[in-house]
Amino acid sequence: MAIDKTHKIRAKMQQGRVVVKLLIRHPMETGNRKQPLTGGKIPRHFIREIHCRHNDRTVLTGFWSSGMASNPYLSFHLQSGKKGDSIRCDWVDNLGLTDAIETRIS
Amino acid sequence: MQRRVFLKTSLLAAEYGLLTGAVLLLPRNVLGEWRTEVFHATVLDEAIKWVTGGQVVTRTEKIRLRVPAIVEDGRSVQVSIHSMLPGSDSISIFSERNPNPALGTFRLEPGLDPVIDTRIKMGGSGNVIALVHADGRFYSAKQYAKVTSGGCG
Repeated sequence: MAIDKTHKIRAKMQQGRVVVKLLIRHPMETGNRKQPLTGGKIPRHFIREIHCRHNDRTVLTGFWSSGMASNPYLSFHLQSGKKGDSIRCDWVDNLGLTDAIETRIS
Repeated sequence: MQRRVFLKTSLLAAEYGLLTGAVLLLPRNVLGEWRTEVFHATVLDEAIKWVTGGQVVTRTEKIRLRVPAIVEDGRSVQVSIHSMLPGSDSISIFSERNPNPALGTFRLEPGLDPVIDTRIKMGGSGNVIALVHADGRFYSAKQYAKVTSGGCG
């Protein structure tokens, strides 16, 4: 399945901290669901690794299973940062497809 | 039995082996530090053991775990974890009643608050467990949620 490009990311200064919110478009198929028409199983397809960076420093690494909800949502807080800094998340799924999203702290 | 083990191993290899190329593009290759077997465990205790390596896990009030008391749709359940333990450097999430209880692990680098908000799938009513590694030890908190419609397909 082609990955929909409508991922969303927001990084905002809030009381000296940076609150990052991230929404990824991904089916996160468990491999247990059945195709309603054919009855065949829908193959597993999930993000298994995600890396989030503040400027060039990795701040968060996630290892996921298909038990994370589809169109995964993630929010985390950086203790410091300034407006204009880059926040970038890269991920790779079990089929080897990679994608990323980047924003600036506002 | 031998054959089953072999099949399981090759499936794992197929699933994770494909990634070698892609992972090289990432800033840091973290494969090898994380045992992917954890996600294949079918029993909660077994899954937790893959993460802790058998170390003792202490129940604590210092992890605030928020899960809705009643979940109408198990396909997407908001989970919020806030660790008040000093030196927290990883947070893992489990759901007792899922076919594979281990859902994910987050490794926190210095400069990040030990706070994670995310959404998980829940297969049925049961406990959600947050496992935190802090100062070299493991701590956990759990929260029961009643699921009216399971989301593990």
